[in-house]
Amino acid sequence: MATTGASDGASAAKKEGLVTLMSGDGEIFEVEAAAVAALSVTIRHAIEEGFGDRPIPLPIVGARALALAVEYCRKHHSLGGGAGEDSAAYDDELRAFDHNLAKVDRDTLFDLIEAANYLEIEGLLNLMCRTVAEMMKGKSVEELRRTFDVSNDYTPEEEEEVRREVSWALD
Amino acid sequence: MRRSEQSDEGRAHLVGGGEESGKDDSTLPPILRAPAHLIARVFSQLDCVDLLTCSLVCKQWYRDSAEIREGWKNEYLEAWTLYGLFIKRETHPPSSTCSIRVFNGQECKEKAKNKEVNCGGRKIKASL
Repeated sequence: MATTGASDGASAAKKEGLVTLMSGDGEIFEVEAAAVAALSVTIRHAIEEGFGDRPIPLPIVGARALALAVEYCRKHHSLGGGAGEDSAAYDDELRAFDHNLAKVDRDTLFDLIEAANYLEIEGLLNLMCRTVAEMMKGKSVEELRRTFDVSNDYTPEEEEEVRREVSWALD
Repeated sequence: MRRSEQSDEGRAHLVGGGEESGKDDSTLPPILRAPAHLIARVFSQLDCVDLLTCSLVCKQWYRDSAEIREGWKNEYLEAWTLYGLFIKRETHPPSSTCSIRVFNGQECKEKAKNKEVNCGGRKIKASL
């Protein structure tokens, strides 16, 4: 990422058309204001509120997720003008980019969901939620527990009760 | 991380409401750390069979899927009331698509006429 990198935000010279973002873990990103503002409602509002000339703090977004979210904004802004998946501008290149982005490891996937939610990047949030949903489809209860590292906290009686409750469709 | 609370009236005995509050989030798998409304958003993309399977995974998923689960059940009951279907599911492998939504509107009537509807991608026979 040419214009994104860790630097000291306070001393960084302000460049035309750039906005400075600060991740929750203190990393500074200088990014094109137009690209992030077009895709992220949160950043657009922050710029409108006069944050444009000082770092915008994004307390719950980690550096790794922020870097990926910024990359998403850039790509979608430059190729699709920020248009959604229903638009004609959502072409094969964007589709391939999204497809690759969705291959991140599981921890990053959930970090990205929270980042997209906080930054209000609707397309990214949809993409990541859909990715998790795809990981759930067609799996058994045990497979789901294994896939997502979730332990069974039901007592046998409770599990039986839920099984009875959902039996209208599963039995 | 704060998880938004969801109502689970009448099932407090089962889900042990509020027990999550004292837990250390860092020991939880990522999917259980995510806020409830985001997991609900994921669940909203599942068909009814996959969603009900998720509710059997753990108490938190049971709670987070409550509202959507109710939606599926209401659709099912509505179809039952509207078309008087006696529904018996056939053994059929689950598919990735869900068509219980065709219960709504014209498509449903046509399906009902054909005496066959799909529930969460699983074929079920309906006799009128």
